[in-house]
Amino acid sequence: MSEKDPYQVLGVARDATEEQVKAAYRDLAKKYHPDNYADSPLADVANEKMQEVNAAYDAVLKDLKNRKSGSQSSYQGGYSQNGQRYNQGYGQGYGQSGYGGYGYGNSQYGDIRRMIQQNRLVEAEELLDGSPANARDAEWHFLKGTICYQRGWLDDARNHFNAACQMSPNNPEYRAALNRMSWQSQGGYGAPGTGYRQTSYGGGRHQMDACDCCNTLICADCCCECMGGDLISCC
Amino acid sequence: MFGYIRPCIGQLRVYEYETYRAVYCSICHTLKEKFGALSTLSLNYDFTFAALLGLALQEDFPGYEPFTCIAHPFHKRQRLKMEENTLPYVSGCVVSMVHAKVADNIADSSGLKSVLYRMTLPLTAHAGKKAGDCFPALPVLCSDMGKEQTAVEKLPDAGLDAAAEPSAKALAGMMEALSKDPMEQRILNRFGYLLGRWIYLIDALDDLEDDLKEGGFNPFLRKFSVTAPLSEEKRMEIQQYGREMLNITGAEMAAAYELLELKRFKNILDNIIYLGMKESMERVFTRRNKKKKESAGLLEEDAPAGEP
Repeated sequence: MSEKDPYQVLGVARDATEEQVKAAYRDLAKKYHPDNYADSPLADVANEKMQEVNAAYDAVLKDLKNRKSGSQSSYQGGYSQNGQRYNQGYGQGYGQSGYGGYGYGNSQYGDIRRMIQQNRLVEAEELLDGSPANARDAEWHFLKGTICYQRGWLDDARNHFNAACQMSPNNPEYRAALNRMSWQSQGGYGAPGTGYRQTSYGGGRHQMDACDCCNTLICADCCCECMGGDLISCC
Repeated sequence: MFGYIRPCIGQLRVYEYETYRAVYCSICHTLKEKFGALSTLSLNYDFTFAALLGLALQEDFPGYEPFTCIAHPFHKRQRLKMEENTLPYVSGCVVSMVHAKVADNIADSSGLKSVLYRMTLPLTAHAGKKAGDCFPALPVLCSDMGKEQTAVEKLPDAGLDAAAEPSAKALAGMMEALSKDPMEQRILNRFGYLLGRWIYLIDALDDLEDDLKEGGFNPFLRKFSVTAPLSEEKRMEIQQYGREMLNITGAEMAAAYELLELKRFKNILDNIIYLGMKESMERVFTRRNKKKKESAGLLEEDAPAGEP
């Protein structure tokens, strides 16, 4: 990939302050967070973007240090404690969170996981569909759901993730996949908890208005009443 | 099935609104230049979005020029200068899609309606053929879409996903061609797939009543095994389910969209993806009676899409 201007990658001006650079980096890191692209066929693209952003962040911070000290030579040390990456986990989580290291259960599923990872969806689905209906366990439904998800068959994907969670309620991987879809079904973007696109734009229906204020008060009143107190005496 | 992908005007800045309008006018102009004056009737908002996206992805930008629109002779308008990539291609998509739609309507309807559609067919066929000459992939995409749609509607166990697949695939193919970069094409393919799926689903939700009355195929009616009349309870149930599906599809689409490297128009496109589409959903869900469609177009004094 060709060298890109790190300032452009972060979307900040050349005279941006350190705070602005950090804020821009934080927003981008939330956007390309691996959780937002788990099970997506574009996970590798997001990963590449994240690495690009990481590199740009390091380069810009280095440049900032340079400018501050006014000398060319002093940037070698120093910047790393200030310039700590927002979260070291970003950009490393791909591939590991999903498919790596699952040795348990049927070894046939290991093969299928690998195929999904290599984007050989048709083969993977043929193998899955070949297993008899009474042998379809939680893992089967999870993998089938993943294939549907990659293909964009999101209704079936949700049903299969649901089935997987019902059969094996304690599996965190199945739960995460289902949680992400329920979060999105309620109008959220990305994965729950990554904070992606919650603060930006501020428009639409998310502005605080008089109704929100009343709602909040009524909620608070209900909570107080639960605990035996009262906030609004008339209701 | 057109007109759901549009900006939330109230949240656009004035200059962004004017840019949007300039692109809208440019497609109209390109349609007229390439496919004849009649083809401008098929202009719509969805493909204005496609043009914005295509222009946002390409390196060079043609710039604007003032012109006078025949429909509004007393106002000077802005449009893009002629360019040879995105605008002709998107115009080709418009006429191909409309032609496919008319052909599809003939197959679907009978009696007087069918006669009316048959009368428009030669007009759309002419433009459709021209588009096919410039962009050979388009008629293939559209006729595949029509064939697969007919086939899938005959399947007794076709779910929402299967029913949306033909439209989704057609849009995936069309969007993919907006870029020449292989990586971008992958993103656009996923994005287009989900966009087509979203449009298909919202259109199906919008048509519940009509399809029930006329016995047309509707994946939601089938999934919830609805028989006339549609009870209020059932309608709420379908709408809730539809809303969730649209939200999931929209979120996944936004995830793909965020990976694209936009060179311009980011605010307008963000507006459409994050606000405009939600607004379209609300419009569909709160509209009791489809006939009472708001008659005013999006671009105030402009005629709504499809009207001269």
